[in-house]
Amino acid sequence: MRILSVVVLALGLITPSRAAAQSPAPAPSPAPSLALSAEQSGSGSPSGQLTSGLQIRAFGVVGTTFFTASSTFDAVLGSNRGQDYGGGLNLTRGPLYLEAGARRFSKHGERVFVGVDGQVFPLGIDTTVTMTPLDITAGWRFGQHFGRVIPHLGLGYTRMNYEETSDFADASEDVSETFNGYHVVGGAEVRITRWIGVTGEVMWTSLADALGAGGASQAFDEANLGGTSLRLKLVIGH
Amino acid sequence: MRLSFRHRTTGAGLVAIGALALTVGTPSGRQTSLADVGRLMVDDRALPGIDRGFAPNDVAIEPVDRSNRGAHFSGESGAVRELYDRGSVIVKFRDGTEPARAASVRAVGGGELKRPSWADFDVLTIPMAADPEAAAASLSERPDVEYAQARYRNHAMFKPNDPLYSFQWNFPAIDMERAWDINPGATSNVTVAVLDSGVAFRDVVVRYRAQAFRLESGGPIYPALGVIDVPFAAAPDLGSTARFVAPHDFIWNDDLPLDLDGHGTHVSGTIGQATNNGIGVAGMAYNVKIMPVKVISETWDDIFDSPNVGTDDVVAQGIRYAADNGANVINMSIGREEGGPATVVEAAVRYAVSKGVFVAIAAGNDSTTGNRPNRSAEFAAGIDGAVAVGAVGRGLNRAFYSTTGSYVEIAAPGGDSRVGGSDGTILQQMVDQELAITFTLAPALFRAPRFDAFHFYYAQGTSMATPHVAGFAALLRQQGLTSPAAIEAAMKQFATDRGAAGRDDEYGAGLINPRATLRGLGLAR
Repeated sequence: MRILSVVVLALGLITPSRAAAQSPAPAPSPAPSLALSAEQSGSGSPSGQLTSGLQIRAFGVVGTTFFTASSTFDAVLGSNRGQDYGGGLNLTRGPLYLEAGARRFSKHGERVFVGVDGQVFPLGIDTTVTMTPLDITAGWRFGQHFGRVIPHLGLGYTRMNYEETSDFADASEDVSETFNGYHVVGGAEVRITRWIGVTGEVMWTSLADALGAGGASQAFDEANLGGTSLRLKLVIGH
Repeated sequence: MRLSFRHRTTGAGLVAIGALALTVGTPSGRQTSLADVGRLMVDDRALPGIDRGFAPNDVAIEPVDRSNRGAHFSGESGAVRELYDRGSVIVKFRDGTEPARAASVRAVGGGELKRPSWADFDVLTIPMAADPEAAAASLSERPDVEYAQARYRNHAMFKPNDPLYSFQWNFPAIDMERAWDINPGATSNVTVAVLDSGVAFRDVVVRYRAQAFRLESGGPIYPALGVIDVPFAAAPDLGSTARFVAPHDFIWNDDLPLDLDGHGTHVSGTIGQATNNGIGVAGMAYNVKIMPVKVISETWDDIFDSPNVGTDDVVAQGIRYAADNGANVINMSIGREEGGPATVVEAAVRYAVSKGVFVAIAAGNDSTTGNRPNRSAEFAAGIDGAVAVGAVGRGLNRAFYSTTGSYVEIAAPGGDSRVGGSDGTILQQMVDQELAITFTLAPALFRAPRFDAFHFYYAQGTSMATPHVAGFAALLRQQGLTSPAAIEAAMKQFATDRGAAGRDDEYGAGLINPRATLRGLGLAR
C-alpha cells in the first residue's frame, strides 16, 4: 500500500506541472487533441486518444518469461521459461503513465547435480521455486498516432521476492530473499470497449547477481534472475 | 594379535610336510580328487551362522601389511533444523463461529484460509517472517478457535535400531542418519562388488587338505591336519543370502568366494550390513546387492594350498569380472606397497570405469612405516570415476596410519585407535577369530578352523574407510548419478574440507558428506 501511495503521489506531482505547462496554450486546435477527457472522447466507443485527466485503471496480466539463467532453470525446473500471473494498477495522465503491479511465478522441480561437463543429474528431491516480482513502471503512451492502438514504452524498478524450498531442507538451506533490479517494457494497448482494453507487451527484467553464489546457478555461472517476458494484460478502465 | 604372513613366492612361505590324496564320488559317478581341485564342497547346506555377539573391551584389529594378499586388516554447519514450516499454521475453528473468523485471521496477520479436502481444519497463511508457534498460540487463545498449531515438520525417524549402532560413531560422524532420510540405504537395483578375501555369504561345508607349514622361516612347524571338513555360514547380520549375486573366487577358481579370514566380511558389513533389523550393527547402503569376488588369499588359503594368490593379475581379473557381471560399484580395500606400479590393475580399473562402474580403493596404511603409496590406488587420481580413500578417526582428523600423498582423493571414517582406543575404530561383524584363526595358537593347540560363528569386531584401516565411500557411491548411484565421473565429482564437490584449505595430501578433497551430496543443488542454493 505504501508503494501504491507513492505511485499516486508521484503522478500527482507530475500532473500539475504538466497542466501548468499547458495552461498558456492557445485555444483548442481543430486537430484531435492529445488530452481529451473521457466525456469528450465519445460515448462508450473505443478510442486510442488519451485523456487529460487522471485515470486509474486496473489490470490483470498473464505472461511467459524466458529466464536469462536458462541453463539453471532448465536443469532444476525442467524448462527455461515459465508462466506468471498477476495484476496491478495503472495510472495515466495524458501520455504519461505510472504502473504498479505484482506477478507470481511458482514451479516445482527437482534438485540436481551438475557434472563437470555440464551434464545434469536429477536427484528426485522435490524443490519449489516461487518468485513474486513487484514492478513499478513509468512510461509514455503514444496514443495520438494509431487510432485504437496505444503503444507505450516504459522503464521501471523491480523488487523480487524469491523463495526456494525443497524436501529434506534445514531452515538455513531454504531460500527466502529479496532482490532489486530494473526493467524495460514496451507494447501496445488495444481499446476494445470504452472500459476494456487489451495490452500486449514485452518486458525485459534484470536482477543482476541474484543468483550465482550457489546451487546450479553457480555451476552454470549464471547470476541474473531476470528474463524476457511476453505479457498479455486485460485492462479495466478508460 | 595377528601374524603377518608372507607371500609364498617371496621366501618365507609355507613348507609342505606331506600330502594326502582323497577321492570322493560325484553325482555323475565320476571320481573327483581333492588333489585335483584343491577343495571340495561336501555339503551345500550347513547350520546357520552363530552370532557370538560383541565384547566392548575387544581390542581393535590393527593395520597389518599384507600387500595384495593381505587385505590390510588394518585391522583406523549449519543451523539447527527448523521444526516447522514457515508461512502458515494449522487452525480449527469452532463450529458456528464464522463471523468471528475474519477477526482471528487479522489478529495474526493471516491471509488465505485453505481447507484440505480430507480435513476438518484449515491452513492459514501468515507472513513468512512471523513465528508460527507464536501465531498458533495467539490463535489458540481466541474463543472461536478450537485448536491451532504450527505446521511442524515430520521426517523419517531413521536411527537404526540395531542394538550395537550406538558403537558406530562413524555413521553419525558423516551425518548418515540425515542422509538415510533422503536415501534409505539404496535399493537392490544397485550392486556393489567386494573384491577382497571373500565374504561369509552362504552356509556350506567344504573339504580341504591342510598341509603342515611354518608361518615364518625358522619358526615352529604346524602339523598337517590332513583332510578336514570346514563349516562355513553366512554372516547373520548381512541379511538374506538372496542379496549376494554373481559370487566368484579367483583364488580357488570356483563360485565359492568364502571368507577364510574375516576382512572381506567386515568390509561388506560397512557397505551393506542389514540395518534397522534389530540385529548387530548398521551399514551404509543396506539394501544393495553384494557381489563377493575373492581376489586375495589369506593364511588359511595358503595352508589349504589354494591354486592362486592375490597377485596383480588376479586382482585385475576380478575387477573385469565385476564390471562384466553387473557391478555398479567396486570396493577394493586391498593393495600393496611393495614393487612397482600396478599397471594391470590400473588398466582393469579404467576398463571398469569405462563400463560405468565406480571404483573405491584404499589409499594405504603406511603413514608410519615409510608412507609408501598403495600401488593399487596411486593411479586413481588420474581416473574420473575411481578414488583413493584415506582414513579419519573419531576426531575426524587423519588416522595415524593413513598414507598421505598427492593421489589421496577423499577421506572417510576408518578409525584411529590412538584417538579413543578401540571404541574409536570401526565395528562390524565377521567370523569369530578365536575359532577361525587357530594358526595363531601354539602348534600343539593348533586345530581345524570353523567359519560358522561370528562376532562383532573393531578394526581400523583405510580398508575400513573405503567401504564407506563404496556404500556412499551406491546411494548416489541409486539417487540418479549414473556416471562414475559424476559420482566422484559430486563426492569431492560436497566434501567437508579438512586439514589445509582446499585439496591436500592427507584428506584429498575432504571428508565425505553424504547428506549434502545426496541433496544436490537447487536453483540458488
